[in-house]
Amino acid sequence: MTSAASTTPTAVVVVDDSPVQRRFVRAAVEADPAFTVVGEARNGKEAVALVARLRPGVVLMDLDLPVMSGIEAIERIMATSPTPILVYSAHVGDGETANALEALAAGAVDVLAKPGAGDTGSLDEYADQIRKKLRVASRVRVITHPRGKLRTRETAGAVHATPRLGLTRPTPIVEEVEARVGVKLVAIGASTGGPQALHTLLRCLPPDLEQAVLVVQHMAEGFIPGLASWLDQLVPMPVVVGGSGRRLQPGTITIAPSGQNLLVQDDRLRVLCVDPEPGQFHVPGIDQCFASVADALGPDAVGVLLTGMGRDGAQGLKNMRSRGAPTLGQDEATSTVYGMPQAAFALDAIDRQLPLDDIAPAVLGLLGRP
Amino acid sequence: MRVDDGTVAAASLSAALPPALLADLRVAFGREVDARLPHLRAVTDLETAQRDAHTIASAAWVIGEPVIAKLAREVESGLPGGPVAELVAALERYLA
Repeated sequence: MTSAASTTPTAVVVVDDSPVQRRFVRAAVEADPAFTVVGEARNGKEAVALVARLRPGVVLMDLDLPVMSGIEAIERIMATSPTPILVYSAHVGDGETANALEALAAGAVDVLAKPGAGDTGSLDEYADQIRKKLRVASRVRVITHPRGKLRTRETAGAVHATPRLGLTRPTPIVEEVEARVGVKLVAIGASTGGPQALHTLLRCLPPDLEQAVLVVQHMAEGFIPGLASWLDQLVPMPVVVGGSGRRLQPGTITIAPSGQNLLVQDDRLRVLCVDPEPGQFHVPGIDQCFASVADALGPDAVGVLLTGMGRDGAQGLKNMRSRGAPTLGQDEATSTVYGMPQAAFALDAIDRQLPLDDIAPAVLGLLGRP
Repeated sequence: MRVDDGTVAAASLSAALPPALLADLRVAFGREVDARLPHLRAVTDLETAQRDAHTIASAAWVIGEPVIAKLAREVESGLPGGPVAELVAALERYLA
């Protein structure tokens, strides 16, 4: 789908050290009249200068760059000329996946898996993915993201060696919430902007939490294990990727795996991973997961819907609320994309809409934690 | 995207590209190989060789050169005994 020809196309800067990739990406992007490539950079340093000079609407950047790395370039761009940045990265190993997550922490809006040897997808598919992600990224409002705001340089490239960080005490919420008895699970859904939001929320949950935490994050296939590893080093609770037959554990954050829907089967928190429904757009699906939580746990769960494009999660959260579960949504001002929470709010699926920083205190209040 | 053993016919993937674009990409790939081949022939700096292999792998996939893409990905993985010589030979054949 393209926007009307009469509208001004969004200016794009492409950053890649490979002329082949730049040429291919330019053709893929400009196949949509909503975009025009206004500049190409061959390394991170050129990218920083070009973005400052051209002020494009969106940047499409490879991470593996000479002269100045993609991560450093993102940090500098977000600190000086905040611009939505879509990163594409080969998912050939844990190191690259960790880099992609570092890119999101540094301020990139989203990550796209770069195909390579062994992939059986088509170039058309890849080009279509680029355009779809660019359309979302170009609509994101970004703010100045000072270097080191979410992470320090010391953690770059060494996430597996970083000791687990301590609990970040949430600031007391202004409005008290009534604690709920018998809650077994906190279910969280997120999409665009989710990794940063998850970090902000989850770093405030203590490791001795008596409830299990379940996260469904839309993410390109291949990046979920990296997301789990990244969060595991940054938040007090252990983080694992879920799988069929396992049970969600109290005091543990489980992330839904890519490529399937994770369903909670019963009040013992057993999990089943099933193939997506035909035509399902977002996988793993938040709606499917939340609906299963509503069926399995009724009022004994808390639902949280964070930033994201589209409306996945809204109906599932509505199901949870209808069964008596308290539900929270991220507000517009702090959402990278106020899509999913807005859809949930419009469906009357949300008890309380809150700024991101207030969501962890609200969850802890509902769980009866000081 | 599904992943197979790396020998999938990438040539069929590039078949969907407009002929003029594919011709452009193949010329650009030739220049890229020209620039990076000396590093791979020397292999004095493994990190540089891996970066070159990484770039070549993705580019070769785009233009439909599955053998080069697979060899480059193996070199990029940095495993001892990676097929650097085979990759260099395949790139030289491409340029010939």
